[in-house]
Amino acid sequence: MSTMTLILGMLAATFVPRLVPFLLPAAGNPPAWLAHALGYVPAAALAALVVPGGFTAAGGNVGASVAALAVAAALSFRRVNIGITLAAAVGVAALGIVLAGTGAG
Amino acid sequence: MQHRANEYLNGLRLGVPIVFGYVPVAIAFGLVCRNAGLPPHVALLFSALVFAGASQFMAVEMLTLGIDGLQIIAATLAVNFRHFLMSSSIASRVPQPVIAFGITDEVFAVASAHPGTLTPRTVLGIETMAYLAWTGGTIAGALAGEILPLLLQQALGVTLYALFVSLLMPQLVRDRSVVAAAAAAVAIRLGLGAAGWFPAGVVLLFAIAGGAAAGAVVGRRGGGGRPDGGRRGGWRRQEAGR
Repeated sequence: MSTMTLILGMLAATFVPRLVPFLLPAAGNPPAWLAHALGYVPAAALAALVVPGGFTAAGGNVGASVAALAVAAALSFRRVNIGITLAAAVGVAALGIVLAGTGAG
Repeated sequence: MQHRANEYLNGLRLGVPIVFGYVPVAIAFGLVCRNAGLPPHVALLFSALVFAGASQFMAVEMLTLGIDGLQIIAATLAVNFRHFLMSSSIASRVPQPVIAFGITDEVFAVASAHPGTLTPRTVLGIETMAYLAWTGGTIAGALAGEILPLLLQQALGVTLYALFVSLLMPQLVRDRSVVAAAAAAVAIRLGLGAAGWFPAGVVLLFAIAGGAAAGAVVGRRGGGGRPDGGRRGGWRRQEAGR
């Protein structure tokens, strides 16, 4: 599948759930159990996406990667602005790569 | 005519806070695309046509893993199905399909919090600000990646995962049923991934569905409400994750 086809497929996958309730108002009331379970989909998706790739995200350096994610977790726990959080995580990753001597030099 | 223009301008004003949340994450998405080897125009097409941040990050991650496009689209549908609930809520107040494309978690939050009559032009104004911030930030990030030193490019590899962690943490501390959902998803992802029975994309879908089911079961047993505190749409962090 080409990248353009993928993007168009994703356009359909994101637009249809947004559009259907406007065209078919009666469809916007799913069963209570389904609505309840759907509320957990974002958290489940985020958690599933972090592992295992997150452990080697900083140029393959496990220590730098884990340290960066720990900083992101701590700052987001403190509700720090997400831009600052991401910048801090990248900074820690860069520092970790340099200290480990695995950077580009 | 003046009245209609004022409604749109009011929407633009209401959308300003979204810009501050979207731009950093959009820049990060552009950088992630750059790191994944995608050219700037593809990054822009993702943001302009899909306009669903979390799914876009997920798609780039799955692309780098070599996962089939149909599985990426299926995962996108699963992750974004919550917009069905948000659109249902907005449609009950503003039954105009023209505003459907721009509905995101943050647009929904701002529009829902708007007191009084909500008009299509007001919602379009909010959506315009969100859309411009997201697409503009994306192209800025994609182009900036061209001139960054290699060390920084390597370090930027953590951006995507740091974003996921940042979005997840506030949800984890809110309710133990969310912890159960996340733990189950991780266990399924690692367990089935190690077993090697299914393609990576299918494993991810199982992890998402299994995690959501586990969270729902624990939430029911604990007598808790929805993981988002009762509001529709689970992705509550303002800064990202459409």
